Amino acid sequence: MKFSVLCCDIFKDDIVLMSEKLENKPLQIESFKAESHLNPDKMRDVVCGKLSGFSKENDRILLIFGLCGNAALGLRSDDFELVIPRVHDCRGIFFGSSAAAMDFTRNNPRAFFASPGYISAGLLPSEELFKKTKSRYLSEYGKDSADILMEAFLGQFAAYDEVFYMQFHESENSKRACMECAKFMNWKFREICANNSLLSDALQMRIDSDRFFILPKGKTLKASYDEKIFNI
Amino acid sequence: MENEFDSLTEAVRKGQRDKAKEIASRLLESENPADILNAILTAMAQIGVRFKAGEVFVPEVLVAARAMNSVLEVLEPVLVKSGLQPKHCVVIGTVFGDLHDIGKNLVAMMLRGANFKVVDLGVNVSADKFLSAAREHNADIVALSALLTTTMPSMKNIVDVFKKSGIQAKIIVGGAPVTQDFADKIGANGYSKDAASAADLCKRLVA
Ligand code: B12
Repeated sequence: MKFSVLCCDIFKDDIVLMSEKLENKPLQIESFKAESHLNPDKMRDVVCGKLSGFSKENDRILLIFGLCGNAALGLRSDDFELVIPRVHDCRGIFFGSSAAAMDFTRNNPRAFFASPGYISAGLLPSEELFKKTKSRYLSEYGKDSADILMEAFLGQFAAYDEVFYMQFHESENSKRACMECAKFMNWKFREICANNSLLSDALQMRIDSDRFFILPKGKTLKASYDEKIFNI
Repeated sequence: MENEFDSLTEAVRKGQRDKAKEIASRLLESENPADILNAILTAMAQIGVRFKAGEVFVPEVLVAARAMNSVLEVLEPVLVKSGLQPKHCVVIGTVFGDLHDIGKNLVAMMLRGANFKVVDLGVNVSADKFLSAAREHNADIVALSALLTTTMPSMKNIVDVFKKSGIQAKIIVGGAPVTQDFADKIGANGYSKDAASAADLCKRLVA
């Protein structure tokens, strides 16, 4: 079976590393920017654009992201089978299943989490991010507005009081960045063992219909809004 | 005066709370409060369009919403004095498990602007809480917000609980992942995609 991967860039490094050990390697690993998740409609456009760029040699494209606020709704391909894990968002991939991710969020409602990929995508709050944001506000809106915008920007992080580092692949630099973030934000630093079975099984084509949804060629992806997440 | 309305719109859009309040107070001395309301709703509509297009981000939406709120504080007593006392009540909240409240707050503000009495239950609200608030305030409409696809199923649960309770209030649903199709499927009485149309929807439902 010939396949390629289309993923959110927070998983790109993990996938590249895992793929090195595969016998049947993906023909291509393509990613899109994590920021696109901030606007699900835009993310859908980006994903559709990338899908049409894959070589027709592929039988399947593995999608490594989730429903992501409905961004995955309406996806289709006339050329390949699409495989997507039954997860709402990246948390399901980090925790190995959507149910495990929801359990974690329920038990740790004030936890921010970060994997090496999450950190290299620039999603971790840091002094640098704050400085960059402040200077954008200053140049676009002037001093008075910049101050209140900054207050609102910081307010987005007020919901958290701890950060969990998830070692999806080993990276001392990422761990250090996460510890620095905890110090800077005055959050508790914690570590959690990531469960990469969903991702690694996907790459090894161990695709079962309980954990993955297989979208046949020419069909359109829909959401079921229940524990199955996807249907057609 | 045309310019003053434009300045008010701009001040709200840029999140300049004090400036917006000052212009609104000045306008109130001679202008119709409904026109002032219109100017701030225009600002929110503009920021909504830019957010959708990915040109501005959440902090920009938040500060504009706060500026709108501070203008509403000035407007509310005048609207009430001019005899526009709310006749209908909406109970609103973000459903259980969901902490997103920016959109819900905007809807609440727009409804206040459209002269509804709004009881805001905040975030992470259970079916029981919605039910007892609807009873206590004799709500005409119960408005549910969800931003996570993981919390959308609890909207269905709330609709079911209300149906069983026999309470007459109409239930409307919204939030970025919610669609008309989903609203129909769970038996809600209405859906709208943004705060401005939520106000129109509520007016239609109580007419
Ligand atoms: C801001 C934001 C946050 C902020 C929320 C701050 C706050 N006080 O609300 C913070 C950082 C805290 C946050 C946390 C999380 N978030 Co968040 N967040 C967003 C973001 C970027 C914007 C939401 C927003 O405020 N939009 C602006 C407002 C104005 O729009 P709106 O809410 O859609 O509301 C409008 C309409 O929908 C409508 N409307 C809204 N409610 C109602 C109600 C009725 C009755 C009606 C008629 C209309 C209506 O009118 C509004 C105005 O026009 C979205 C992405 C997106 N673009 O939607 C992700 C998003 C919703 N979040 C997401 C996630 C995953 C999370 C977290 C789990 C992340 C984490 N690991 O911690 C947590 C969950 C916390 C929780 N338990 O709820 C995902 C959800 C994916 C999913 N599973 O469905 C999204 C889609 C991003 C993504 N694609 O990954 N988030």
